[in-house]
Amino acid sequence: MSGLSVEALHVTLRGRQVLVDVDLCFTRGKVTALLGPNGAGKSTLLGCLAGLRKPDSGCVRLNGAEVLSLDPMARARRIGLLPQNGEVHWDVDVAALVVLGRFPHRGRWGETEADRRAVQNAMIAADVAQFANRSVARLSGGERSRVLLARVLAGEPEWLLADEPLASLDPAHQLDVLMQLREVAARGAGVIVVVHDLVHAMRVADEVVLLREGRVVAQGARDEVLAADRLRATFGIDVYIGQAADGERFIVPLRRSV
Amino acid sequence: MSGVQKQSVPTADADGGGETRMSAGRAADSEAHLPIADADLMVPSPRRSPLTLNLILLFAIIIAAGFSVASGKVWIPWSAWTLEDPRWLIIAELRIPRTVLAIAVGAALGLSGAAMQGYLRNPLADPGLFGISSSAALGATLSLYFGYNASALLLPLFALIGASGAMLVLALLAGRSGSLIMFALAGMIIASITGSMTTLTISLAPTPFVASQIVTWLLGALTDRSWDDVKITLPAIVVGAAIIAMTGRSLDALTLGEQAARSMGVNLRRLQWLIVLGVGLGVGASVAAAGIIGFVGLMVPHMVRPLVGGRPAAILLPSALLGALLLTVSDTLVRIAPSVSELRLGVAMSMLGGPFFLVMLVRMRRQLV
Repeated sequence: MSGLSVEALHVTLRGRQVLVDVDLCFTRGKVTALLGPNGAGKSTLLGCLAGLRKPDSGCVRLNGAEVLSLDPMARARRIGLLPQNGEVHWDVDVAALVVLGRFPHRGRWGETEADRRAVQNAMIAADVAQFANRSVARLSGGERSRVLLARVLAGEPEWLLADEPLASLDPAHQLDVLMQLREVAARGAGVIVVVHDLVHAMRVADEVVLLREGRVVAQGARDEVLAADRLRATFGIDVYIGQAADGERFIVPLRRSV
Repeated sequence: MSGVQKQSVPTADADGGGETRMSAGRAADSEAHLPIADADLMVPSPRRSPLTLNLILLFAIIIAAGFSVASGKVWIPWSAWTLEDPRWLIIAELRIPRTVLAIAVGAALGLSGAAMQGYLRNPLADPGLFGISSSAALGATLSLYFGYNASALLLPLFALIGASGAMLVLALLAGRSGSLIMFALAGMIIASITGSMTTLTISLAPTPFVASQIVTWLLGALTDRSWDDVKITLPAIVVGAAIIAMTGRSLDALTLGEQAARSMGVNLRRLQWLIVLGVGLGVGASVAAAGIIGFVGLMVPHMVRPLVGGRPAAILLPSALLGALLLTVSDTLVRIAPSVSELRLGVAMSMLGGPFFLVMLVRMRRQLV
């Protein structure tokens, strides 16, 4: 049993069923988009996958071992989480922030060559090396979200979980982050990303999971799942799916379906 | 304030940064996305070392301690620092313990303040916020009330018992969840309850003399301390500091918020215990030794941050050193200041602290506009 999988997951929050009997299986080397209306349970699912939330029943397994039973440090070395509203509470240097990504790897006695290399590679991959010594307070929103991505990459996780990494970015920076996620998957990690935008999901995902009211509506290859009838069932909207000149498929939300 | 720091400021600079990124970063990226051999050349060394600052502070503390031992009602020049000189008694029995306490208490307060601000991720957090100092004060007040202060050991002991009581209640109220908000609220409630009980003790004092004794003690001072006080409080302060030193890296991780810290493997409950124990021992012992001395824990981290950056772990040691320096210098100054009775150290620190925060507020307002 390899990969990250979810078995019969149930989560109830304040009497409301947030996740109902969710069964999923994720594979490394692919970008999986979690899509669904507000309140569908996407972030809760991500929290369970990261081992931060205890489900009421069911479990999340990483290569067969239950995620919650793993030592938190060992888990953190393998699963990296990029939370939704990238909080940074103190004004620190970009480099110092990225180094934090090595937290689960670092021994008691300071950083090793491997740590330094991982931090540098992460900064290059997320394209933030040129302002390594700048303070976080003096970054634009786009730069800042790339720095936070670099922080997760520095941990060299096998699984990267990202909760709406595109929020509050302009289109150019959204594309940057999407491409960076793709590169992370190309290097062999599994990427699971919560997105709100169907257009982006179509751009970035290999696989898509559609959630609605805590249940999995569909999961599978992008082109199968992102189909007009499924999206109508999930979001209650009509979409147009076309093909661009370069052969890529694209999606346009049209209207609420009647 | 953290809100200010959270905001990113879109400036013209951002566009400029974008240009360089396209030329330099992208080129490297597209050629190879796996480890790049000359990566070292591209990323400058990340950290400012606080080592120089720490050494300067240490040196300053040594000098300040020298002056502290020499000065007071009787100035004792270096030449008299020998066993043969009759004034040696003043040095050995009064000045040295007092100086040692000033250093220890200052360090404990500075360190606790830095740890608290890092833990609560709030630059206005103060070691007094947990209710530990007011509980320690209540303990000391009770010992004065019952007249137990006849023995030099009992007052600090009572204060330490008060502090441990507060730690216990804190743990019971908020320990399970590891939640920050519960924790801060529990601390505030403890502070307000013990504070009101202290005033109750004053108002019920058997004689006006006891009442004035309590009030004077609450103002905080290091007057007439002996080696007994050092023996009781110094070990607690040292142990507390060692515990706080263990939290540095977790505090760094908390910079990214609770969820991110947990995902990085930080055990928030363990961190909370360490903070309660470390701050509790340090602050409890400080109050036992010197009464309530405010503002040191609040001010010192602010003075350190511009010099070593905002990383919580990086400010721990400099905050301890600067706290020690600040209190040693202040305690020397209140001794030699020309006044009828010695100015209380706690009062002097508040007089320094108020204006300090006024200046900070004005600066913050300028940033906000």
